[in-house]
Amino acid sequence: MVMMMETQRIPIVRLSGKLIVSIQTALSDTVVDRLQQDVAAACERGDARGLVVDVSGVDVLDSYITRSLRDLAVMARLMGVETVVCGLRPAVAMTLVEMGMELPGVRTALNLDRALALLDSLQPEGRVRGKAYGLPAELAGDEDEEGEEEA
Amino acid sequence: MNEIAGEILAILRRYLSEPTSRSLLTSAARRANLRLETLTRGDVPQLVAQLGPGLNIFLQEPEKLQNCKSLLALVAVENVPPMPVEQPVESRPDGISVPIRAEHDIVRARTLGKDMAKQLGFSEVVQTKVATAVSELARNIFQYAGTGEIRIRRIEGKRRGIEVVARDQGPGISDPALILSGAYRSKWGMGAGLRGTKRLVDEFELDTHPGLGTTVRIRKYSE
Repeated sequence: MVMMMETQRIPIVRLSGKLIVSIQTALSDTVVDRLQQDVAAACERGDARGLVVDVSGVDVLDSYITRSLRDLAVMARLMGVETVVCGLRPAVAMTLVEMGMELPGVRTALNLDRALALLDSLQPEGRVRGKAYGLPAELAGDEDEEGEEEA
Repeated sequence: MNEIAGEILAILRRYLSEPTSRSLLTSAARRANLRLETLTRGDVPQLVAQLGPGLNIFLQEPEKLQNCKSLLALVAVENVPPMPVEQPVESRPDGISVPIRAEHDIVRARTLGKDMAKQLGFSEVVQTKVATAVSELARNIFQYAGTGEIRIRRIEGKRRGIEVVARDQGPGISDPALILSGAYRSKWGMGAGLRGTKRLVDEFELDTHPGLGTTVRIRKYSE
């Protein structure tokens, strides 16, 4: 593994009103701190209707990283944003189970598609909120049912 | 050789043995018509170009090759902070020794552990368990002792497998039995790491005394 010269920053992608974080490299203390800050800032904007943490690129999840992911989810929830972790590799999932480690209170999904669908099913208030703020119905609605992403 | 040549050598030594690194470097310098005693940053791209073929032969894994080349390319750049002096991974006939001094050594140690498990023919799941156990032990060293060492070696004989010894001169654990029993239930932290590790492996030995450091020895057999 290469040590980066400056602190690597994990990009946060917005898709269909949700935040997506894809972890591709080993997480260090500094990178995790940075990620938490970035996620908090993104949540603070108030328009995030969920956070997906994709760990399909992670081949080893030890207790430290697991705790960091859980902390991230707890922090997001404190800011009103639900988190779904997706892409857990089978070998990693089996190892977590054998270690007796879980991600309590953190929802999981098999892959990104299902994670987004899960968040959609948890956030029907998206429409309600729109109406409460007096937006006309057309603007309060989200992307159409097929899940096409909007800008 | 001068400081800049030294930087290049240090990078090569992360991936290759000392003799191989030196030999690749000197022959590359010769082909590029450069002297290692007076190497400038401007010379580096030429030198790296001559190192290319040798690296392609010795570094078979595409990711390592790419990483190595990226690091070498950076040496040519002015004002890049010097590479932290890194203790080389020591190769022994039966295994390797990884010093744990900085956080990235945790990833280094577990990657090497996973590689060795793979070479031994362990399945993906077991490779992951070995890597995770190494990660836990290495992180404990880093977080609680600051420095230490992870030794990974093959076990030959009627039962083939892998052995990892994690050693540090840290504060030691005052009540290891209590920590391991899980009665003191912190969900995260050193105790959880050790308990988790114990569940992943076939043999687990903890040798620790307050003020005298800690040694953890684990073994995973290939069944």
